[in-house]
Amino acid sequence: MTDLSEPAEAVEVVLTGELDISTFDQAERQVEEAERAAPSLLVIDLRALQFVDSTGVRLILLADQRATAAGRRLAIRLGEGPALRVFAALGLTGRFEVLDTKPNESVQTPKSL
Amino acid sequence: MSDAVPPGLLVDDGAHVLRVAALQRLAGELLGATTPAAIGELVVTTAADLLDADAAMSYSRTDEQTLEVLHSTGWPDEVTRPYRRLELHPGRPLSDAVLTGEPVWLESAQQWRARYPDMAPVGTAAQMQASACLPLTVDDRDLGAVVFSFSSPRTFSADERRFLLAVTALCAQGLDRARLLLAERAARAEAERRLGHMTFLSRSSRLMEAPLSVEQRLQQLADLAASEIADWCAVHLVRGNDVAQVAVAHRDPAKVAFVAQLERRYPPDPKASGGAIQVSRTGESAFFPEISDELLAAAAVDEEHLALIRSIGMRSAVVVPLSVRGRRLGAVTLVHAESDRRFDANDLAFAEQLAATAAVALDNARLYENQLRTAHTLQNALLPAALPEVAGLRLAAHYRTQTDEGSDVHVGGDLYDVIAGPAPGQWGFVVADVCGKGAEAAAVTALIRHTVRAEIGHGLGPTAVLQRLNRAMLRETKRTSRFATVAHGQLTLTATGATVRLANAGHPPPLMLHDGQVTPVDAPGTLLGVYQDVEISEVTLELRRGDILVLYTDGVTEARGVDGFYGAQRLAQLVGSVEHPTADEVADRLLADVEGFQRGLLRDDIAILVVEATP
Repeated sequence: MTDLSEPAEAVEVVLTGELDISTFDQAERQVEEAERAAPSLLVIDLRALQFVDSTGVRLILLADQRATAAGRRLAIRLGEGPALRVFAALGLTGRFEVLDTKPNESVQTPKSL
Repeated sequence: MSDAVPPGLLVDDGAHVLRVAALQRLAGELLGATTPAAIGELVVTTAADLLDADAAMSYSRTDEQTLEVLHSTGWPDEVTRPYRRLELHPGRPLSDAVLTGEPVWLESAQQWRARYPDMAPVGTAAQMQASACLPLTVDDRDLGAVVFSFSSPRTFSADERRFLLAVTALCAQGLDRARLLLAERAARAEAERRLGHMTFLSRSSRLMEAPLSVEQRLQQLADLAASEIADWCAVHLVRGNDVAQVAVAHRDPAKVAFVAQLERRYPPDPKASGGAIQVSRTGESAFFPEISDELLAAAAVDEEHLALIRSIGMRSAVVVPLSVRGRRLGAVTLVHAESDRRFDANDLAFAEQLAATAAVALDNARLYENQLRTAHTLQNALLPAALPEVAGLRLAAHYRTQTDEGSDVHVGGDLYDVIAGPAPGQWGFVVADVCGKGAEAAAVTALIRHTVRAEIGHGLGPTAVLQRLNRAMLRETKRTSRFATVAHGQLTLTATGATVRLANAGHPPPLMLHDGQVTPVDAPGTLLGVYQDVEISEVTLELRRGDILVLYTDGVTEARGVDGFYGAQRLAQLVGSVEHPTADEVADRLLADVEGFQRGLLRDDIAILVVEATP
């Protein structure tokens, strides 16, 4: 499920299925695997998730903490489905860099680090 | 006779033809004989007839050292009785034949005395004179021997010797086949027994994994045992200093009732050797392959007791310990009664295996129950024991934790609370949802509860309480990302109902029910415990008499059933559909609807708090 279609400096992880407490560990392993390449930009795509609850928010918060600590950049794709709903409800849409281009379009080069 | 007949057959051709026919007949009959005994009988009767032998005995070799008689004919009983089973002993004719593989021919009483002086009195008893001792062998397998005796001296011609050897060779083959058949049957029976045992073990293991209490599981195990491997089954467990019977089973419930009554009247002797209580304590199996009347008499307290236990008709029993990692948990008792079956060493081994499997499952189940109990204790510490009685308000709440999956024990992260404010007529209430489960989440839940209680007591308004709470959480939950969504209200009772200030930090919007109309109380805000700066919005509402405010966690709206998500819309419709709504009615209906929607299988915790201004 890890999509490594981006250039080396940007890695994108596409999460699918349901993201809740029962699938959290698996999703976090996926994200951590992508982090091992130490990309300058890590994109986590949540648009294909059929279900996501506050566990998904926790996943992004933890990834964001690690990115900040390592001086990397983290961005997310929320789409207009369940992921956006959860992030909006928790008052978080302004807290992350949200990219909402199609998954195979190239990610914009970082504006700043 | 034709010239084509080989010259050898012309000699004594009448006897020769008879013998060939006899060999053919014997070969045919041997095919129909499937047991060693039947073959042993054929060899002595057929050959004795043909040779005019006066007596014959066939033996089977049962092990390296021993022969056992298969069939005897012509000898008086008193002569053969000491030789029905004999040890091989070099220097005796039959033993020599077996040990050397060569026939021993004794043509007269003189030869007997000359060659086997010790055995001559036996060999020539009942006026016998001559004997032929022949080994029964196939390839290298020594299967036994046969001895023919004659009441007059006899010269065994080369032809006769050949015939006798042909007869014994045929019989040896028959005997070999019969032995293989027996071994194969025994192997198949053993395989079937093992298969039956494996099936039983796997069924019993599944039982032990069922989501039932320890006692229920053991009763099911006993029921299964009493329907398949014994007439009776009982299970005892060590409980502190006592050993208690927790399950007893028999196909006939009347018999179970009878034994229960019997044991009330005559409690089992805890010191009885081999009893379930002793086995539970010692961890050593007790095996009673045959229960004699003396055994019952020894166990009986008085005549009446003896009569009662006799009436159970116990024939055979095994009592095996339930123990795991050296800890003795109890015992399983299996009894055969009216079926008249007996337990053997294999059954004992199987019962021990069954008990060992059950003990491990039992131990796990107990650990699990303990964890569950701890979790519930902790959970209860995080929730109010009872909602306060408040004049002017009616309050109702429900709380359900996520359905346990497998062996995971969850402490929920949901919370609700109602707290008296700093002045009379002022009340605070809170509903919160901590992300995650387990001890870490529970610690955050406790932090929220105590912080909100303390800050309300200090007279802070709802937004300020949540800001303080955010800072407290940041201090305590650094790097764990244990965040929470919180809805917190403070109300002041008024002449018309209550005025409510409601602050929200990322929590699903509470619903206001007024005159059958449901309105979400939207107050967007940021979740707590992650950011230093949080946006918390606050709204003020008037709760008229009869108005109802519904607070809940996302375990309600995010509930998943076969029809998809429960959702905010269904929630609003449900709340609006309650006729003659009261706090209790709305809380009950909502919980029932959400549980029903998920078919009773909750994937997340649910907290519901309903506040009603008394009409």
